[in-house]
Amino acid sequence: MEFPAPSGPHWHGGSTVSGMMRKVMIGLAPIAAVSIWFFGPGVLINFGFAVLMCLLLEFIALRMRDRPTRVFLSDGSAVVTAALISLALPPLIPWWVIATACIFAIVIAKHLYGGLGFNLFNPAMVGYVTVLIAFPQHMAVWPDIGNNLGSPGLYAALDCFLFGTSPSQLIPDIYTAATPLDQIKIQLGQMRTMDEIFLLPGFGDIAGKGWGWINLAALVGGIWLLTTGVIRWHIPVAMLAGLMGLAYGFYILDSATNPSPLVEALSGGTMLGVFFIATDPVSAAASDRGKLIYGFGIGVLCYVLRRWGSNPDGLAFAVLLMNMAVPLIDRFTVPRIYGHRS
Amino acid sequence: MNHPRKSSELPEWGIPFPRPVATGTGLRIIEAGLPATLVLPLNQHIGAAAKPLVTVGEKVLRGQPVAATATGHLGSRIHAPAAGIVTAIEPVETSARGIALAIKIAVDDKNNHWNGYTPVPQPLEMTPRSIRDAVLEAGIVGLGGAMFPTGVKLNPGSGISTLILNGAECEPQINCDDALMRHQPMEILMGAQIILRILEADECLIAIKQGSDAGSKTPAHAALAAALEELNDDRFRIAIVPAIYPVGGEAQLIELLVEKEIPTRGLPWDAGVACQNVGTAAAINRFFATGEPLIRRIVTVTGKGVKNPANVIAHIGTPLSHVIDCAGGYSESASRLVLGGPMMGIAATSDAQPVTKATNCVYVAGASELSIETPEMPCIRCGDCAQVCPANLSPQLLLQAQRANNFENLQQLGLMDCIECGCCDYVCPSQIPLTRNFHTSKRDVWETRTARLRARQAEQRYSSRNQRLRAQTEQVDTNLENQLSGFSHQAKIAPLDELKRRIAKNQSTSDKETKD
Repeated sequence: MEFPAPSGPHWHGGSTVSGMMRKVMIGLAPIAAVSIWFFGPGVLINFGFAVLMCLLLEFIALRMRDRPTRVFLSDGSAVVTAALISLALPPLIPWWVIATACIFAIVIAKHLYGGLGFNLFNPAMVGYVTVLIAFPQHMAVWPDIGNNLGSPGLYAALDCFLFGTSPSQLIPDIYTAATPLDQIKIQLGQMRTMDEIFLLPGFGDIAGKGWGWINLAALVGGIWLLTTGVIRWHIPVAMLAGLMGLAYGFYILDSATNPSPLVEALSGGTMLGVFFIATDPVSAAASDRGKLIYGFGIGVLCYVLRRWGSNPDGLAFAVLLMNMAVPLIDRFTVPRIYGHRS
Repeated sequence: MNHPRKSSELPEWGIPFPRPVATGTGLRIIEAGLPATLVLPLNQHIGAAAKPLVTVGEKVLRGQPVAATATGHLGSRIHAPAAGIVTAIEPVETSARGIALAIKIAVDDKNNHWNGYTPVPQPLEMTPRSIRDAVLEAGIVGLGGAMFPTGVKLNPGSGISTLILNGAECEPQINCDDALMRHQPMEILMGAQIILRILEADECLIAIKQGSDAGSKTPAHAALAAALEELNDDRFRIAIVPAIYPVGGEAQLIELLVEKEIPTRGLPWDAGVACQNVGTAAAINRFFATGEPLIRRIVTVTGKGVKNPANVIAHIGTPLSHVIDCAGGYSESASRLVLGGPMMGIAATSDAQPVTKATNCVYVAGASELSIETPEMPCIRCGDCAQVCPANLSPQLLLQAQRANNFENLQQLGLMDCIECGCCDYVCPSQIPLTRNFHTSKRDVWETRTARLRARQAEQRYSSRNQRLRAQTEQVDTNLENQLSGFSHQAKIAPLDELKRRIAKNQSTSDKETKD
């Protein structure tokens, strides 16, 4: 009898890229749900539009690069990028801002570098940072969770999305506010103490109202990702160690003018960054030791940029800066090979 | 029996596969009997192909050597598994070792024994050297699949403290060693005693894979323990290893059992350890006890592609189709024929090729067992491959270096330390054929190294030749000067110039030859 004879191994464990991406999407479900709860339907509009944009851009880029479209469109990576962009952007934002973020993520950061697996920089963060710099006025407007008036409704969200109406024109000013991280920066600049800042309406028991829950939701999803083996502990632990360690150092020096480590950990995009952005394997360091250095670097840079940078949240910049360092980290952290001396 | 493993933790590499105690093969062993024709490839071992000792038309007897080690080369003997007539010596295709010359024997009388080998009642009283020679004579090679000539491997000099008898079977599905341990534990132990005599080692660890129920002994463990009790040799100890692939790999076993690493490009004896497969030990014992050289072995015939998976005692040279028939023949789902296990086994195109000394398993995969053919995706650097690599390599970085054709980087990253176990392929979410890629690159590196070596040798030959010629010319000069010392200057110069011209001409033509 004759048989085909392909090369071995003849068994495969069954893990696939699309399966991993699917798990990442499941891991994002808790934070998405909590974000929708606090920020309203704008989050969903962002997500839907970002997915459409990313898939369309992916399709065009694949066509232009003469790559198989079916395989790569179904790998799920573009959808994950879209999800991260939509969770990072404010929920009341015009479509062209989202479109710009998607173009820079998919076309510039991903496909111009060679597509899936070859991007030096985290695509979602490139997209996010681009619009943060290009559209600062839109990027600073977040619904105010502290006023207890509930989230903006569908019509308000659609109006902002379609026509770029400023939420403050559309609806009473009290609906929107600076994010807690922004508040901390502004108020500390005005010589207020942390205790005074926490008396402001936007703040809850631990961190900003709502933001603490959002971060906890990302933590839950992240821990689920850890248990399923999609990500490993090195980057999250090192990043939190860098961020909270530095925060702790300053906090014990002067607790009045420095946010506590817990505030840092549960504010802004910390947990989303820790578990879903810094852990993007393509743009992260390869070895375990490298991952520790990489994660720690992001944590430290994140704190430094939050405290002394010009943007309220420096996480995206911290990730991109460490992305740059990855080839160097990889070069010096190759694990000791069996049978070789260290 | 106490547990000699120092660390109770699982290794940080590999893939856990549940132990294949009886992959449908049950606990029995089937005698395959003899086919009409035996095909004996001459390259059933590491090293140079053996040289035929017989000619077409010659009658051979069971156990008679039909091919010998090529002089001055690493190799092994091959014996006729049954009496018969040599019908052809011609090339055949073998999947594992490419096309090779093979001796074909039409079997006529299986009981007609060659009497060149006689049993040795007291092998332990022989000198290590004569035991080694006998093992070489018996054509015994590493039966775990490595095919390294055992007589050569048993010559490590002094300083071996531990012999590891490998019964841990690397791969899922294969359980021929397990069957052997169940059925012939005493033969294994006696073979091991002979090996211990050669190596002058102090202890022998018998590595067995853990069963699915960690609390109870596997049948193989129980059989060996009973045989050990009977033998009463306190140098032996049973070591249970976790059912993690590739725990049966030599380096991996040594790492796990004695917590020593074999230095890169080194050998187990650099760590004071020798490793032998249980089947090899039994084969050594059989040669001394009965005078039967290595002419048959146990083959696991398994997979969903056969009807009644079984362990089969097959003569070397038996066509695969014959042993598959012993396992009930093909089932309807038979879709791939693999020599070896599902991880490192090599797929064969045809079942006409023979069982060789290395054939520990014929795995006929059913369609449902095979990995689904999915398109290869780009590496996303998830690093799962690095987690499972037993050599602690970073396959994702190796792949990157390979794509960049950076051979220097490839070697720095330990390409040559890859044992090609296939673990990285197994876990790769992008379905990249990493092992195949690394295998190709390794070959490229070898070829570059050989080419470089050849170039250097040619250069050395060239410069030493030039030196020699220069010396020659000078010698001629001085000789002539001496001889012509009485002549006038003109008379001296003319023949000298002529000679110099000739030598120079000679040199330039031979230079051209060297360059060509």
